[in-house]
Amino acid sequence: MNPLFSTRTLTLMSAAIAINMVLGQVASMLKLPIFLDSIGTLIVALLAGPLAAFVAGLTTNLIWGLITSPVAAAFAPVAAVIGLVGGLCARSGGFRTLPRVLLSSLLITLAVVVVATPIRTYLFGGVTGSGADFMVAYMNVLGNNLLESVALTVFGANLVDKVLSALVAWVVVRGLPERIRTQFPAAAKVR
Amino acid sequence: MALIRCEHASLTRNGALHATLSGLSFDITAGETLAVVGGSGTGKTTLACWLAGWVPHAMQATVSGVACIDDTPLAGQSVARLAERVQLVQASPYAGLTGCAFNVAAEVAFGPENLGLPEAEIRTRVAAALELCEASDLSARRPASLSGGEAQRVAIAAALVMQPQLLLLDEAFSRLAPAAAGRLLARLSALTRNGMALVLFEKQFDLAARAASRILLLEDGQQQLLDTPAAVFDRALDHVRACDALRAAQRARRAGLWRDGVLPPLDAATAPARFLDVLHG
Amino acid sequence: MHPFTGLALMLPASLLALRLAAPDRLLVLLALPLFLLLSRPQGWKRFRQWCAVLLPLALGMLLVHGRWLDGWVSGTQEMATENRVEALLPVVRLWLRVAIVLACALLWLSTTTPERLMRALFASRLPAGAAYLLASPLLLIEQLKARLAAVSQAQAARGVDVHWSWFKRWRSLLALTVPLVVWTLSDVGERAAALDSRAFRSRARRTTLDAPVAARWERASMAFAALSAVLIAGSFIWP
Repeated sequence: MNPLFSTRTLTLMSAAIAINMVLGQVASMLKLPIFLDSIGTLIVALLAGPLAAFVAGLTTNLIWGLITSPVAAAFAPVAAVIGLVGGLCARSGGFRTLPRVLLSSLLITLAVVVVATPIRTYLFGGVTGSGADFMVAYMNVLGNNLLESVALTVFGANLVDKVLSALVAWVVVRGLPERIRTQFPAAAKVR
Repeated sequence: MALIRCEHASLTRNGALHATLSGLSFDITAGETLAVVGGSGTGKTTLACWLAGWVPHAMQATVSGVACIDDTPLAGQSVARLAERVQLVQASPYAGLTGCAFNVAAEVAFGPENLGLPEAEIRTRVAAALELCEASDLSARRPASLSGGEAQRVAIAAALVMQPQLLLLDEAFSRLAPAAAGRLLARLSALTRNGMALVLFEKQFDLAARAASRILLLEDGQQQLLDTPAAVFDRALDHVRACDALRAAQRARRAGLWRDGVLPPLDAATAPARFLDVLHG
Repeated sequence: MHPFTGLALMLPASLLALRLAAPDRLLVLLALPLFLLLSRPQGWKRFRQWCAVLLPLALGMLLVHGRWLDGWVSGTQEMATENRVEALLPVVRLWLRVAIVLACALLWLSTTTPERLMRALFASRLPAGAAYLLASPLLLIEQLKARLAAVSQAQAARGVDVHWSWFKRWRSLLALTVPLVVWTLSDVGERAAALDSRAFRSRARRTTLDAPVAARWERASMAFAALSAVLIAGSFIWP
């Protein structure tokens, strides 16, 4: 039997999923305008690569859909693409210096826009039932079509969150003690 | 036929400047109880992990010399495949929990389930293992809610349920009350009569000496002595903890106050009798 | 009830919701799972969950698609009511479809517990690693939340408070997040060793104790669900 992920990668993904869900709840508890539900995914991207991060992100939303709101499950591809793009950036040295981390987080945000916009527009009419709907309505009225309005809103809502998440993930992985870092020999370089 | 055989074996962890373990030459046969004693940081846990097959996947290190299980090298074995023959119970009680069981019974049954055993056999094994560790009343508890001592008992049960040929206990009694530890150790010794080999890794001399037929003394990762508890008594107590009665006996022996021919006491229970022997001859 | 039965039945229900176009038919399709949901134990709680998602969604849709902001922003003539209703029709359809899928999902969730679902996953043909990924985070979250409470108490003792103003909330966020994340990552290696030492994924087939068993009617329902899903999907291609 040749499994796709080593047991250690599995336990890392499981920990990351739990981190995603708990921090997501912390963010909404503190009523800050960010999601914070991809830090775990990005940590997996840094330590275990794009495929593991893809699966971790996907599973986070599937489980979230299971216990909190099934709507989250519809956005599972978004969480997955965060992991995928994050992992690809990490593999290409995109997390080695601070400017690169910021650039990577921008790329991740763009990927989120590309994937989330159609889901939000065609499945939910461009609406999520949150305050961002005002933004969409406003831009729609200004003359943009629905797709553009949603895309701009998604970008605005996600940029700060993804930059912050990438920074936290980077800082955490950089600061990991030696004994943990040696457990992930395939980790991307963070210095 | 030795189950485990080590000859001039040494191990260097990745990133370490010098060898973590060196000069190891010992063997373990079926049904034997060996104790590895040493102070903190002397390499006991590293040796335990090595014997459990952690090198090199779970513990990155380079090895040299001979260290074999059934004549196949320990390094390079997959932990999962070795799991049916060797079981390690770690010092930290929560380290042995899988984190995917909703109650203790499921936690202990997880191992046999993975082996694909029939349901009836799994249930029998789980009940027997929990009974032996005095943990039957914990069956319905959530693993995360267990106290340190309870978690240790469950971890030992989870190791026993796999019916290993070699059971490694790395300071596995640290959170148990002495009486409970004594009872458990006695039951484990009874199991060795069925052929299971037992290795205790301890910082405490009395616990090790009570059950083991031989003691291996580790200091700075080097094997210093390998002999019966009575023979290593004097040297070992310089490096490990022991109860006051044994310390007193060691002092007496050092000061020449001991009577020749009387063996040193190995635990607090036998100490008074030995002292009386020394006094009255 | 076997956890997979409800999940299987969700598929044709969702496809049917996509297939139907007339709002009145969709309303009928919505009424059925909602009624069943309310009749379950704890039905009201789930109904409130359903409302909590769908009511803001409805308001948002009205806002975005009702074009009420038009006159306010660009000063053009406000739309006539009939035009507005016509513009809203596709949105109503969309809302009803989301409502149906959500109601079915909540109905399914009310028929099973996480524990039973986990057992069903492990007993299924799904790889053990996938079952582990779906099950273990739930258990880990409980520990994390306890840990979070402990960390935030420790931070509060050091002068960080989650009830503070905006700027302080941002700072306290970092103070809470990083220790929690590092703590969770620190025993990843140990947990992997624990799994491996229980021979996890060492054999191709594993036994699962107390695996949920699908009764005959459930197996029949799943077959029926699969068949209807195929038929409904087919009706998309050949109207």
